Amino acid sequence: MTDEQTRAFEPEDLAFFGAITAGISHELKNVATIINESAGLLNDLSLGAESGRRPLDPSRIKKMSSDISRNVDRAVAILNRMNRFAHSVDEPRRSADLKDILDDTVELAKRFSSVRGVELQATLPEHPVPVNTYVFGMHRALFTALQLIVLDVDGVLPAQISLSKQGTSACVRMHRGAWVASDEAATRREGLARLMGVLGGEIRWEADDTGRQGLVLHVPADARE
Amino acid sequence: MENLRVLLVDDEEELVETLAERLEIRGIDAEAVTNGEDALRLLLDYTFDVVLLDVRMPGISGLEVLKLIRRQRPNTQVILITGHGSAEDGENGMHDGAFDYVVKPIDIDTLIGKMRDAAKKSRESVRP
Repeated sequence: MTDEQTRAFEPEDLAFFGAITAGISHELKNVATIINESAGLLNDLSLGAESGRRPLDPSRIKKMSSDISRNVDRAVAILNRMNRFAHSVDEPRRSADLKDILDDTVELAKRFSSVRGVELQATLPEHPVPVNTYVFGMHRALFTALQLIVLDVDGVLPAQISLSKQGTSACVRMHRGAWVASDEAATRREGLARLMGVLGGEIRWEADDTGRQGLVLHVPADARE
Repeated sequence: MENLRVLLVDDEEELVETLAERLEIRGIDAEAVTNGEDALRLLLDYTFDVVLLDVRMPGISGLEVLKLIRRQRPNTQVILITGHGSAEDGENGMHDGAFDYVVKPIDIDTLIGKMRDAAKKSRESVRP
């Protein structure tokens, strides 16, 4: 990637990074709050048993313990995604699996979409979809596409997201409903088209088989695969 | 003061269930729901002294629910839960009529103190 291409990502990169890290910190705070309440309840139950007011119920303790373990796993999964995302700026271009990049972006965008009442439903292939790309730029392009499909489509239908390989391209499809025109939507569309151009791909505005409007991102597949 | 009756609203089910149990242990009658729609439905049929309400939830946001509660049940006091480091969401909510706010992770004793103050205000406002 040339200096000019790298600079093309700079103006809104910090805002994007901020949006992603805000979502991550919110999720981690929720996990910490659940663990905090579970620990507090264990303490309450122990004190009740010590004082003879309430006998300890082993099945209740087992459930609390499993709640805590599940939330620790949830925190680790969030931190792993955060770590992969943080390292996406390490190299200007590298081989990567678009399936992993899309999966991480969808997970990182779930809070953004759910507070707006939109569920993200991703169907990903079992096999890898190799691309050679600027991973951070690809995250940003995918996130911008998700913003479009969440903010600029009318109604509360879930967003359908899929990934497939077609010839020399990898295709990311996002569909939800009818587009709503606005100045902000136009700016997002221009921004996404610019990002896809810098990444060597393109965007097409296409409806799916059921008539729902949406978009398809064409990303060059890794030629070495 | 008579037993407090509170409604907990947060999309994190484990959080509201655990918090409800901790409040019940302390003699507070707590009901838990995971979205604003269910909270508003319950408030049509039942009276609560205090609603503890998450600011950011899928579906109707906490701040929208707050505005509807202020209209539907003006005597019921609302305490907001915010997950953000800054107090901005909580302050905004107080501007829209929330009694107070707490920041996650929640300190149970602080929360109960605020709930008692809010309940006192709720009951004073309905007293003839």
